[in-house]
Amino acid sequence: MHLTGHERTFDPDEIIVSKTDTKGRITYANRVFQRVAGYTEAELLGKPHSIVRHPDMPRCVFKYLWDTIAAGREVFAYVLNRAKCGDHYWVFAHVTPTFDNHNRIVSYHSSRRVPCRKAVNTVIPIYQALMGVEKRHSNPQDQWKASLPVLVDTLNKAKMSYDEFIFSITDQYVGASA
Amino acid sequence: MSEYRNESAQFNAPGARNWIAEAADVCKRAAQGDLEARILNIDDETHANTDTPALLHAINHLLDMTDAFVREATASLEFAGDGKFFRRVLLAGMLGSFARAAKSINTATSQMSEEKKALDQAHDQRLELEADFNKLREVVHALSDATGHIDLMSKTMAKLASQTSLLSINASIEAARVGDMGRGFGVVASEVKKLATQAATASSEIQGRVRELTGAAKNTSETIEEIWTVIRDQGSGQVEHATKAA
Ligand SMILES: Cc1cc2nc3c(=O)[nH]c(=O)nc-3n(C[C@H](O)[C@H](O)[C@H](O)COP(=O)(O)O)c2cc1C
Repeated sequence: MHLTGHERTFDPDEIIVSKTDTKGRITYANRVFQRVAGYTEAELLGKPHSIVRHPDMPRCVFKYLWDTIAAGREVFAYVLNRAKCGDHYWVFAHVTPTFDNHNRIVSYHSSRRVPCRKAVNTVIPIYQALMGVEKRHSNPQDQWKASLPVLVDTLNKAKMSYDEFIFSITDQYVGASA
Repeated sequence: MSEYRNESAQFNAPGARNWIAEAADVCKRAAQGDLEARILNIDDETHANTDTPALLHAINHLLDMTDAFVREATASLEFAGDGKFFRRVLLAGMLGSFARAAKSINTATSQMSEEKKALDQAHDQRLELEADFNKLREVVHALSDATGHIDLMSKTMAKLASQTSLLSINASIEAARVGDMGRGFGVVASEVKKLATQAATASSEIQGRVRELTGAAKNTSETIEEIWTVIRDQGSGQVEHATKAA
């Protein structure tokens, strides 16, 4: 996978928005998404959201993300994404399910804000440790099965739930100047 | 690709989308609370009016901001309703009225969090009071047990005194029988008799005091149990209130 090592960013006032069907295929991507990821709308629609997946992202984060939204709850995550040209960009992602009137999940929504550097710097060593565990396995399922307990352990040591941890490193203004 | 188009696109002849009708349809759905609708595949080139693409993008943007605000606000309030106050509405990207509403929600959440803290503190203090008061109850019970013991002991003392008195009478009789030789012994016997009488008086005095003490202990015990019931009822009321609030 081609990577340039060059980091992209976007405005604190901007929100990268995307919507997917229940399988995670993109059904909407706003113009900020298109600009930052470097894809046209036509290239994104109908594609799996992993189109912007970066190889340095641990699998267990996505496992946790999918388990949470499939259970009908919101999830926040610091995510490293890969643009089409191989550049990378950090986002603070909020993913939520959309319900119909019968409370069934019909789609997912995600808005991403530019994270503050401090939060990213907190997350990077944690993700590196998780990647280190995952690299010992070749099968994707074995990878998250090995790294998820490490994530849980890290949170237990900090005596926080995942949500509490995320909010403890996130200012309500996120990357925006307050 | 067509399956990812908005339904309204299907109303138009292929190749010629009626953008205004699509925009109207998306706005109508949004007004009905369906914030999922967006105008997809906006083509920036071929429009009769050059302002049209900007209008279409602006509608999507408005929907994106509204959608984001509604999701944020809902999540934050749902968490607060669950007694978890760390979930604040994210203010980044929220402008104007969105920002003001978001800030109001965050202020309210902080207040709820403070109130919850105060309530928790009151609850802890009450638990402490309950524990202290329980210790007091034990002390009163122990006191009343002790008076019971003293009562028993003074009764034993009274019995000993009367037996000693009997013994001293017998001793005086025996002393009289041996005449002069027994005189000294008779004096001792009559002194013992005096001591036994004093012991009997003392023990009956003790018994009188113990009766008073027992009465007082019983009253104290009853009052303490009454207060205890009030404290316990308050406790369960407070817990109910706290669980209802959470
Ligand atoms: C609404 C939504 C948004 C998502 N956003 C991202 C994203 O920005 N980056 C990403 O790598 N994965 C994102 N995912 C997760 C992907 O679906 C996928 O699980 C992840 O990229 C891992 O891909 P893999 O399972 O094929 O390895 C998103 C999923 C949903 C439902």
